[in-house]
Amino acid sequence: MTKIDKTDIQNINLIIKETNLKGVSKVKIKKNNYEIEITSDSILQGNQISQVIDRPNEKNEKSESVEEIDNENIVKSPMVGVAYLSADPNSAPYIKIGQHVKAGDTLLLIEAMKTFNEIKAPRSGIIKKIVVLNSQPVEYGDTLIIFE
Amino acid sequence: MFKKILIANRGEIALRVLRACRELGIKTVAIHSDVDESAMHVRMADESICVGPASAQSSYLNIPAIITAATLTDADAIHPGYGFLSENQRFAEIIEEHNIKFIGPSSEHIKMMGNKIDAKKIMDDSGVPTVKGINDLSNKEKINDFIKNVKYPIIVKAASGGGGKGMRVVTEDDDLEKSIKEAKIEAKKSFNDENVYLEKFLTSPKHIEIQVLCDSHGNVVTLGERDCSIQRKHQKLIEESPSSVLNETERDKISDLCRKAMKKINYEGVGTLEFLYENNEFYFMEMNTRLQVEHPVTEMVTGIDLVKEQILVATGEKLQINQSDISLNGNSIECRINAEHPESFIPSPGKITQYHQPGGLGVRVDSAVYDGYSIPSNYDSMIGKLITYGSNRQEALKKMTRALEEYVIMGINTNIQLHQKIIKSDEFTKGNYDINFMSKFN
Repeated sequence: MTKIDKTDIQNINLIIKETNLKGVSKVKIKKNNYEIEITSDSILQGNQISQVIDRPNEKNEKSESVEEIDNENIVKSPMVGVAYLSADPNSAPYIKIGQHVKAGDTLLLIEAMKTFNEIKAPRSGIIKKIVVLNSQPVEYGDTLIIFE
Repeated sequence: MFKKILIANRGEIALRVLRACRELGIKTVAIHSDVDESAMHVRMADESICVGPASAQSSYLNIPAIITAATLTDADAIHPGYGFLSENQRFAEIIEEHNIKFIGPSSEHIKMMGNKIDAKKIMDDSGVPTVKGINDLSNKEKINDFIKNVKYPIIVKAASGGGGKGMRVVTEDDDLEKSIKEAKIEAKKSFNDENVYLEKFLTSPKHIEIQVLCDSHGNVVTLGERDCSIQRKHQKLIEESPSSVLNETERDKISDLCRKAMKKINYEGVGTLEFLYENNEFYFMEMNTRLQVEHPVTEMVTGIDLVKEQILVATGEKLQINQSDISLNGNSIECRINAEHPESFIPSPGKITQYHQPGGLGVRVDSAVYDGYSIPSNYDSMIGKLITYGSNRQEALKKMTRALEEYVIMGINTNIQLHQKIIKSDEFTKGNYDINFMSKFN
């Protein structure tokens, strides 16, 4: 989850001040294409007021991939090493995006200290994203795979 | 005598060789990859050369770079250590072609023992016992005779096999045909060779190996045995010498056969013949044509510096030791300290934030790590060997228990706790464990 930064608070305050809102019951921030949504009981019509602020693209990209992903859906690297998406260079990769895997299925290999360690699916589900690239060095805690 | 030796290895074994060179008055050249720049073997060597990037393939296995390093530094011999290029026939050959001495056997001997079927045949011819087997499966009668002779269980193995693929253990007649068929399919799929053969299956053997030392004048000595039955996934974890199950007659008998075989093939250098041992019988498995990781336990009980002897015979000197000079005194145990989690076995490279190694009488640590050292993820997880010596097995065990308690390695996971559990287990204390020990251990 991306952190709320100072500008967010300033923007929220600005909206509340400009619109003279009272009794704010809900604030929602969405980071892709930056959106702030404020719900207030004092507004009779529409119930909601939204403002879309365009931010520089760079900022959007940064916060992308990380947003709104439940930790349970992320498979992280348990070790430092080199990731491999298939058993050997001539084989097909273990998994594809959109594929349904069962808990315990091999997702990829990590080579560390001369051993090839199978990274297994922690649960059954559909592969949303393969973050790691083939033969890419990974560190402990790096995101490898994201489940839907 | 050599003036300068290039050590084509890293870690504790590079240090081990370097120490022997120092004592013999030989200058040393260390090779290293770029991540190993601050490794201890580099710091302690007289000269060092970076031979490539982190991946072993481009550095410690990079034959042209290593030969160039040897030529540039004017080294007159190369010590390969163990692992990496130590049993690479081509490497030994190229070194020979460059008029540099390869500290080890000739490339021919490496080739001879590298082929498991050839090696088994050589041993058969020399009277060294091997596992009974049958290669020709076309004649049903012959198969039946074989089984009548060796009795179940037997194992079907793929001729080009490895890694457990194409293997089936058979315990009764009813399963035989089906198992052979299945093994063939699997062997064809895995190795593109459907040839399989039958062997007597040993259910609970010990792994016992015999150390040999040979000069170029036909002199051969054996230095007793090592029991290496504590293994996990074919990786040795704990070794000891002597084995608690062998008596002198048995030891002499198998040692004698090994010496005869070595003389017959004119072997030169140090080597190890590995056997399975079950019901008081030895069965040859393979020969390692190099220095072994676990050589220190032999050094501790014989008082002979194997690396120095290895270098001396490589210079062409005659062995100064006779078989009658060699006796096994006391007991020695070695624990391999690995950078891995003691339960999950997940590799654990990284920085050592605190390091204290045990010492005292009868305690030896062969390791190249130090306080603040970062263990790279590119190489083997073995970061040290803890060896203890006592006048009897019980004393060696007590010292090991004490030394393991004293060993502090912080910042990474190590298997020290696992060793502590094994050392104090009933089965290990009694000494009658076999190669299935670790698969049953938790």
